[in-house]
Amino acid sequence: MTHPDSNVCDEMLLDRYLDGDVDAGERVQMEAHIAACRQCRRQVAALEAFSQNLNDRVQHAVDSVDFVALEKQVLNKALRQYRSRGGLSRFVASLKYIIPATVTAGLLLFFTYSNYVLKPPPVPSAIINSFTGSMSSVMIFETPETRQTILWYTEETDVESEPNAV
Amino acid sequence: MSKTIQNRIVYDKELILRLQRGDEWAFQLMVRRFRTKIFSIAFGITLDTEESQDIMQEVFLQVYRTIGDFRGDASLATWLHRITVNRSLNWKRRWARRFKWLHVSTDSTDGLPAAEPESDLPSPEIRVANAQTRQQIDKALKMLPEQARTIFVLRELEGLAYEEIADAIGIKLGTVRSRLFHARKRLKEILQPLVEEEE
Amino acid sequence: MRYRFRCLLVVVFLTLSWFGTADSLLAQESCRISVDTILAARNDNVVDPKLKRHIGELQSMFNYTSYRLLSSESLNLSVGQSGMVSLPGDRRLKITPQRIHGSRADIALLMMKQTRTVFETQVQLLNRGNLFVGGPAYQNGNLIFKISSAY
Repeated sequence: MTHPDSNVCDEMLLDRYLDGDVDAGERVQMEAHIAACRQCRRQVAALEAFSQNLNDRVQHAVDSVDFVALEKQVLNKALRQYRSRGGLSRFVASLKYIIPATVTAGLLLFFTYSNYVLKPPPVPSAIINSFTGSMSSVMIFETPETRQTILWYTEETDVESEPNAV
Repeated sequence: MSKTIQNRIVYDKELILRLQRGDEWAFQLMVRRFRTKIFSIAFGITLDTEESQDIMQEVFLQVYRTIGDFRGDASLATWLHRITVNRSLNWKRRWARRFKWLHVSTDSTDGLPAAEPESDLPSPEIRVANAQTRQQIDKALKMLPEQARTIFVLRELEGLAYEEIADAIGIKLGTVRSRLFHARKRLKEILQPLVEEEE
Repeated sequence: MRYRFRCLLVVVFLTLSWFGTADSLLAQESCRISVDTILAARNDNVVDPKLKRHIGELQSMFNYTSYRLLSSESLNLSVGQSGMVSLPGDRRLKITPQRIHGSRADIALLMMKQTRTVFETQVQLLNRGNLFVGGPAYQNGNLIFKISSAY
C-alpha cells in the first residue's frame, strides 16, 4: 500500500519495506522518505543494528556448543528409544492376551492339582456316628497316615473269623 | 520453481522416506543438517544455552518418534520449526527454570552463559563491550512478549517469509504481520534511549 | 477374532470358577455309592489286577497276601433313596444317603445276612473317601467291603 504523502511516516509500510514485502513503487517511495526523514532513518539503522547484533549474539551461543557431542548424544538416545519402544510396545500389546491366558492356565493348574495330585486332607475318610448290631466283636480304627476308616466285625455265627486280620 | 528448490523437495522426500523406515544414517543426516538452525531458534526464544541444547535434543527425538505420523503437508524444515517453537515456548513453564529466567542480572557479567569460551580478541575492552552488547540484546528481547519475540526471531534469525512463519507457529498471515509490527515498535521504544545516547 | 478369543477366555474362567465354588455353595441331591467286594486271604499271593490301584492301600491296612475282587457295584442314589447291593454269603447291604453337606455324605448302612440284620450304622463318608467294612469269613479268607461315595 503506497501512502500518497512521502513525508508522513508510515510505520507499517516501513516494516514491510524492512521485510522486502513491498512492490517497486512502494520501495521507491520508502527510499525517498527514509532519505528525507531523520527519525525513520534512525529507526531503520537501529533495527538493522539490532538485527545484526542478534545474529552475532546467537552465533556467539552457537560457537560455544559442542554440536558433535550433542549429535552423538541424540543418536544414542534415539537408538535406545527405538530398541525399547519395539520391545515395550510389543510387550504391552501382548498383555491383552497374556493376562487372561495366564489367569486361565493358573486356574486350570490349581483345579488339576488340588483335585488330582494333592493328597487328601488328613481327615478320617469316614466318621462312624452310630453302630448297632448283633455280633461277637466290632473294632473301628483308622490307618495312621491316610486315616482310612476300617470297621471290622465278627459275626456271631462266624467260626472262622480272623481277629488278627489287621 | 527453481531447480534448487525442486532438488531440495526431492531430497526432503527421500530423507523422510528413509527416516520413516528407521534409517539411522538418514537420521544422522537430518540432525547434522538442522542442528544449528534448531539451536538458534531455541536460543533466540529462550536466551539460554543449556536449555536450547536440551530443546534441540528433544526436537530430534520427537521427530524420530513421530516421523511415521508425518504426512508431508509441510516441508521437513517447517515441521522442525513448528516443533522447535512449541518446545521453546513451553520451556518457560517448566518449574525448574523459571527462577533462573527472572533472576539473571543484566548489570553484571553473571548474565553471561556459563561456558563462555575464551575470546580470541586481544583487547579486554572490546571483550567487555561485546559482553555489554550481548546483555543489551538479551534485555531488549526479554522485554518483548513471548509470541512477538518468537516471530521476530524467526524473521530476523532465520529469514523466514511471512507464510513460513505463519506455518511454523500455526497462525494467520495477517497475525504474523501485526505481531511483527508490534515487536519492532516495542523494540524501537526499548532501543530509543540507546540510539539517543550514541548521538 | 480377538474379541471372540477374549470372550472364550472369560467363559473358561467363569466355568472353572463355577466348578470351584459349586461344591461348597450348592446342596447336592444325589451321590454315587460304589461297593467293591474283596476276598482277602493268606494262602497265596494273588493280587487281582483290578485292585492294582488299591493294593498299596490294602497292604498297608491288612496283612493278607492275596486280594481278589469278587464284585463291584455302583448305585446312583438320591438323598433319602435306598439301594441294595448283593454280597457273597447270602448277604445284602442296604445303603441310604440321608444328607450331603460340604465334603461329607451322611449314609445309613444296613448289613443283612439272609433275613437277619447283622448291623446298622450311620456314617459320614468323605467325598471320594472309603470305608472298609470287614471281615466275615468266606471260603479261604475274609470278605472286605470297600464302600466309597462320590458326588
